[in-house]
Amino acid sequence: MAVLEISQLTKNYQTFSLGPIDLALDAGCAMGLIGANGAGKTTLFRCLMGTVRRDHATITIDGKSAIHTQGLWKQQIGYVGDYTPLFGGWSGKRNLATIAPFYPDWSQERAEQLAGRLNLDLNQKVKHYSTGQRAKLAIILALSHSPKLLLMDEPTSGLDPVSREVFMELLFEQMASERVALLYATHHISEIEQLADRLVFISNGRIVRDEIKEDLAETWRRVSYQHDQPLADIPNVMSHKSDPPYHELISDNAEITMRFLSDSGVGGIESSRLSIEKIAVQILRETAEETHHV
Amino acid sequence: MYKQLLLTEFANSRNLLLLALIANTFFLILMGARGQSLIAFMGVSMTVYWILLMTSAVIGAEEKRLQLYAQLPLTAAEVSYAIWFSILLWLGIHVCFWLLYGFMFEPEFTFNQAPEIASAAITMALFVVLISIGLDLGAFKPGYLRWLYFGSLAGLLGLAMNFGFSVGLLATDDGLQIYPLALLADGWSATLIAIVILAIALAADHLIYINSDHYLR
Repeated sequence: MAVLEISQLTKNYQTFSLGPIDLALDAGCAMGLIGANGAGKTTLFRCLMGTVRRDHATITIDGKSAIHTQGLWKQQIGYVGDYTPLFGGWSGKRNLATIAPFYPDWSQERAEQLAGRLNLDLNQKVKHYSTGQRAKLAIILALSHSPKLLLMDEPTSGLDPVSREVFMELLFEQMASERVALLYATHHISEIEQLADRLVFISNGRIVRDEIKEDLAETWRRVSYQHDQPLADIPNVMSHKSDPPYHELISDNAEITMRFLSDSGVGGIESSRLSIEKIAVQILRETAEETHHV
Repeated sequence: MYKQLLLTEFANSRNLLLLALIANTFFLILMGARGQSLIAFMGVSMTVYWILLMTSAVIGAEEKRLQLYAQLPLTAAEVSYAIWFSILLWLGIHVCFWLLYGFMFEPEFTFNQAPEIASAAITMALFVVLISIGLDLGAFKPGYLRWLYFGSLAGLLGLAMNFGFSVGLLATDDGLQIYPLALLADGWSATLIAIVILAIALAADHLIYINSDHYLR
């Protein structure tokens, strides 16, 4: 069952338009949202959270209609945004105690356990927290009420490497122990490389690719071949480097590309796997070039 | 959710509320002992209210608080009601002090003066609402809407003063005094008009708030 269903989400600003976005996310599924700066990731998250008004959308979260005249659907969301507003003059503990009653499934024990693992002093005033410590408190807020949907927008920005690793462990545990759906945006693709089942690429406010991670890893390949001249019209080529007689290309469907090369009678055909990060960068480059040409 | 929201609002401004109580008590005793008029005490008390309300908006980080509320399982309408409830209740505490001052230090004070006090309080509330409308317009695009609004208000105020109408707060020798919205001889009529105008302004602010992009603040 889909925990998150988005249909025809649009938001228009004077200089930027998001959507229309259609997306569905099942329980237990982790989706990585990848896009360049200004692609629309944060606007999408804000529209989902209702912190900015959508121009048009039908959104359901765990079967409940996410409309601005109701607020209870947000009880099912754990959100870490680019900025978490908190009461600066209060301690972390008091902030948690104030926010906890808004969530019926809040677990204080879980919150304290998370603080311990993230090494966050809850007795300190929030205004004295560093950016990373504020991010930790936001993470605790997001994970302490057993949400069915986790919306994470660059959640590790500001975290030190150790805390980042602990956070990723926590997410893995949460995903494994509960039927949670996760939508995770980051520029650190290595973070979602392990976690995500699906990768969605967003560019200029629109979803340009929606891929199963395993399929992506399986079909994309670096292919090399030897020929006097680089061949023209090779199918599914995303980039091509030539230093005759050696040629190297990246294909988004290695099977088709290699069959074409083989049929063309070229020799020395070899292929190797690409990391998800490399594939993602290639896709982002491609979409950036397409946008530039438009 | 309302209860928790109101508790959060009061917890956030607890220190300033205490300060308001202390300041009102202090001026009540001081001005009463000096035999100053009720209207002078009201002026001072309203100044205290206004300063503390503004301080609350800055120290209490109202914008951040509203952004937080936007992320919690609340609707914008619930937030709007809760904020106005706490602001008006705070003003109500001041009104209680005005009544207390009247009964304690003005021998001829009776409930017949209630309309004057009520219209002064409502005018103060209206002033707060008018400022809030301008602030809430800041969450709309285009950004110049807010300044267009404040500019229009300033223009209207200038016109009113030019044609001899008394509008809102005026400083006098007796301190800061409040003139009701209309210079009506009948106090209850002025109160009624003030209530209607306040209700319209509150409804306008509510509509602006619930239709705004809270994150743009």
